[in-house]
Order: sequence, then structure tokens, then C-alpha cells
Amino acid sequence: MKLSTIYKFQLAEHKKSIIVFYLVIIAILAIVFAINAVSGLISSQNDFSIQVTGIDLAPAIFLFVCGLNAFKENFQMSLQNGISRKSLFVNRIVVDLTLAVGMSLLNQIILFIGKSMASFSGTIQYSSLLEKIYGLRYAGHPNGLMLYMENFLFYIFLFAAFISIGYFITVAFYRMNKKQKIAYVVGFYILAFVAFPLVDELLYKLGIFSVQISEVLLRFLYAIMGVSAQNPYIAMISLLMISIIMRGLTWLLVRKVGIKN
Amino acid sequence: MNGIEVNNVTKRFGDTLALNQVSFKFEPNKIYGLLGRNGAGKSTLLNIITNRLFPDEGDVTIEGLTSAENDEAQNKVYLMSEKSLYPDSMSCREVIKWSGMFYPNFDLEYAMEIANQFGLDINKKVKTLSTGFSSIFKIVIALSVNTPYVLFDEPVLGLDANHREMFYKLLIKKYSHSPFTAIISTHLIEEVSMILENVMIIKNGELLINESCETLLKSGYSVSGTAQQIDDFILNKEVISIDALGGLKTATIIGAVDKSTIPHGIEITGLDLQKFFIKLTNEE
Amino acid sequence: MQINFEDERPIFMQIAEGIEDAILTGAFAEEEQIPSITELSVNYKINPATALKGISILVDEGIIFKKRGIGMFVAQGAVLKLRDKRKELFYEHFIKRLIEEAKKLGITIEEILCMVERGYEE
Repeated sequence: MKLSTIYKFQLAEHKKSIIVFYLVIIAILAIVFAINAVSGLISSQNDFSIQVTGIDLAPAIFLFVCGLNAFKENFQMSLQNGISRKSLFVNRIVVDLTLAVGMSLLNQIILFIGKSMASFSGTIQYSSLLEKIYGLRYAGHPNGLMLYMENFLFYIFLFAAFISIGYFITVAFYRMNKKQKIAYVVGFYILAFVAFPLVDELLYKLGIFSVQISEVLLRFLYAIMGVSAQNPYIAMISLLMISIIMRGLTWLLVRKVGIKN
Repeated sequence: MNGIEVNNVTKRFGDTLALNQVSFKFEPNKIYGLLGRNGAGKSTLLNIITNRLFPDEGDVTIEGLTSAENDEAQNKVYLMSEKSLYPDSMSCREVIKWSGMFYPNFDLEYAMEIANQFGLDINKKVKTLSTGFSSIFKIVIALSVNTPYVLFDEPVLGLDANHREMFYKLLIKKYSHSPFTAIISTHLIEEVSMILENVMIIKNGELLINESCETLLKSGYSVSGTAQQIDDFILNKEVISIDALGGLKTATIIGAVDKSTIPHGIEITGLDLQKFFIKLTNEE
Repeated sequence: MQINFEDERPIFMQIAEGIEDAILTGAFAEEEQIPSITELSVNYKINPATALKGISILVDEGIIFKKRGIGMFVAQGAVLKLRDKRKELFYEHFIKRLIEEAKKLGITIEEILCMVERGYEE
């Protein structure tokens, strides 16, 4: 299968930052291992423990930020080289899937390294995010094949969702003028961190709502992420929905976007 | 089927009507001049042809294919515009490499050769180029891309006289060896008028003139002489401009010249395309 | 050969006449190659189609001919053809005007002939 140039171009843009990212991750693991070794030397009783959790979430944040930077330059390059918005968009999705799958794979390798460190030294406890969220499911099989498989799948969906959100935001911002940008950012901040908590508290305290809105939202989040059911596949479906919705909205914004002055 | 056809294209930016029902055709293998004042609509038109903007009404076809959102059609056109759309942090060398991947007929060797001729250091990053070398870089790509239609929007911006001449000569040489359609959008009419085969003049978003250069130049002439001679001569003629210096006058006239009616002492010269353009596009 | 952009004669005419002049003065000898369309248009910074038009006039008149794959050459007998053509033009441009002007000033034929002789001596 011949990969299109606009696919290769968009993928190549991430090369450097991905390398830096993984160097940092490896450095962190190395430091953990070093601290562990040193502490082991200092304290003879091994009465300490180092907990390492959720390093596997880091790529999600990283990819979200990648998504935030993935539009403008690529859009301009595509225009200059006669590539339609449609091709740009479709190839973007393929690139993002490539990144999601690739980094999820690397995640599993890191997970394996981490767990190996843990079993090698009794004082390190290494767990993946999934084990924390869906504890019941993996209890008893912390190194099982099922954990790795479901980890692998889960993170593909998670990373894909995060990148799609980041990309949507940057496309939305590209289409806004300065005033709109300020309005949305300030508006979002006020809404999320000022107005919402206030209203939430007020309605509950005044007895108008028997339950806090934030509580309801949290329960909703738990439900769609399969936490209550302790089933990561529910989460994967929800994440897929999020990706689809984000991409759909993004396409609506991209299809008629014109070059800016 | 061949050529670029612009069909009734209209484009508004807010309240401004940038293009108003513009229709015409660019034939294969000709050098066109797209002339117009600042803000006349030239760049908007070029942006619409190359899928950078969408028209509010009308459409454009390239060799029979719809131009909008069509990779196949857009692969036949290349636009070098005032704004550089290449990533700032990329080196010229890298941009050339990618251009070769996007455009299958890109001539890498030729690009290196002319970059050298212009004295362009291709290891420099795009953002570090001066205005002049930024234009030169874009010219290098535009001349190497080998698409059947190449659009030049103000190609010689910031170029010194030597580089400008280099550009024109390279363009002519390339066109002579392997014909293609070149569309040059510019204000620098004087320099470019001899290279153009066809001239299109856009004024306030409308196509005013669409003629061969030859027809246009034949449509008028200039006369110079003493003020008295010229004043007598221009009676009953369509004069589009008069320059006076001391006792001497030069008048530019539209119409056919009858040599036998030219009195002695009056000198005839050809129509100055720039004067013609200025007269046509003045707000009057 | 010069091209004057201000001249009211079209460029392609100037090209044709410029080459004719070069042939007449011997700068381009018969059966010798002349500059290509590309060389001409690059040199004078004009559109190749214009140069081609000028050359085509000369080809039609039998002054120039094209050797496939090689280039354009001055035809045999071109000088003679051109001289004849120019002689007629000479009469139209110079002689007629001279006579017109002479009549205006009342110069007789004898006086004209004397002046011509004087001109050739100088």
C-alpha cells in the first residue's frame, strides 16, 4: 500500500517530540530504579516502598498536546501542495491511529519493564492505570496476558480520543477570530471553575436538587467508563463515541475553512 | 476541456464584493498577465483557483475537473503567493524534498541549479530568509514543479534588478523549451509587458480587459512634440493621458494611427501599457 | 540588433527587420545558423511566441529555413531577395518623401542629383 505524502508529512512532524517524550519516560524509570537501589543500600530492612502508577497515562496528555499543534502548519502545507481538506482530514485520522497504536504498543513495553523492575526488587510496586481503575478485574493476575491485551486496546481508544479532542480544539481556534478566542477561553474558565461550582453548591444547599450536579456527572463518568461495571470495554466504546463525535465536529469546521490573511 | 475555466465566480468578504461574476479562460501553454491595482481581486481569484478559498458563487474547472477539493485537479496547478505557506522552521532543502514528493514531475536537479544561480543557501530555514530571498526561494520551487499551470503572485517582490532579470530569463527559457501556462499577477507592468502574450485587467472585482498583448498595444499610440503641435493634433481624438514638460507635450491616444496625418516634427511611439493601465484603473 | 520597446512598430516586426539587417550586413552569412527562438527571446526578454512570429515572416519569405532538430539557417540567395525588397521600400520611404519635400522647397531635379553626388563624395 502506497502511503500518501500528506500522511508521511503529518507523521514526520511528530518524530522529534516523540523521541524526547520517551527519553523522558525512560529517564523517569531509570531514576525510580536508581532511587530504589540507593534506598535499598541505605536502609537494610526494606521497609519502604515506591509506588509507580499511571505512567501509562502520560502519552495521553502528550498526544492531546500533539493534537493541539497538528492543524495550522499542516493545513498550510497541504494548501501549498494542492492537497484537499478532505485528504488532509482523512490522512490526519490515519496518522492519529498510527500514533495511538504505536504509543499503546510502546506503553505495553514500558509496562513490562516497569513490572519487571517491580518483581526484581520487592520494594517497587508498579501498576498500570487500568489496574487502579478496574482493580477487581485484574486482581490476582497483575502480570497476566489479559492485562496486557486489554491495556493495549484500552490505550488505543484513549489516545485516539485525546488526540481527537486536541485536534478539534485547535481547528476550532483556527476558525475563530481574536475576540471569539478570548470569549471562549474566558467563558470556559468562568463557566467551569467559577459559575459551575457556585451553582452546583447553591442548588444543593438550597434543597432545589437533592443531589449535587457534580456528583451526578461523576456517576455518569463512572458509568460510561465502565468503572461501576468494572468493564474496560464499556470505556472503550465510550472513548470511541467521543472520537467519532470529535472527528465529526472537526470535519464540519474543516470542510469550508479558507486560508487566513 | 483544456485550460483553466473560471465560471461566474463571485466572492464576498463581509460587505466587500471582492470578485463579481468573473468569467474567463486560461488556455494551455500561454503566458498571461493578470494586472490590477492593490485590492482589485487578483489574489482572491488565484486563491479560489487553487482551492485556498471557496467562491460564494460560480466555480472553476482545471482541464475539465472541478478545482474545489479535488486532489487530481490541484496537482496540475502551483501557486507561489506573497505569503509563504511552508513551515517556518523547515530548511529550504527539506521543503524542496517534500515538494518533490507532492509533485511527481518536480525537477530536483533543476531546482538545485537555479537556487545556486540565485545565490540561495538552501540550508537556511524558511523563516530566516530575507524578503528578496524568500521570493527567490518560492521562484525556485515554482520553476521546478513542472505542473501544466503555474501561478505567480507578485513573483519579484523584494528582488533586486539583477535577480529580476534572472527570473524573467529563466521563465522565458523554460517556457520556450517546454511550454506551460504561466500566469503572472503583478503591478510591475512595464517590466513584464514584453513577456506577456495575453493581458487580463481586473478592476474592483470585475474583468475589465481580456486581450492579447498585441491587440492591446495596437489599440493606441503616443505622440510627442511642442505643446502647440500636440494641442492641435489631439482635437477630436480619445486622449487618455497628457504629460507636459516645459514647452513639450506627450499625449497618449486610443485609436488607430493614420501616419499620413502626422504633421512633421511630431514623433510617434508605441502605446505605453502602464499608462494605459493607469488610465483604465483610475477611480473616475 | 536592438529592440526598442517604445517604437510603435510591433516587436515581431522589429525582430524580423533586425535579422534582415544582420543578413544584409553579412553578420549572418548565407547558409549559416542564426540564434534560436529561445536564445532570441531570452536575450531580448520577450515572449517566445513573438520571436516565433517574426521568424515565421522570414521563413514565409524564403529568407530563413528550418533544419529539423538543428535550428534555423539563412537561405541561399537571401541577400539578393532582401536587397530587392528593401529597394522598393527605400523608394517608398525615402525617395517619395524626398521628392515631396523638394517640391515644397522648390528644388529642381538637377539640384537633387548634385546633392546626391555631394553626399556620396563626403
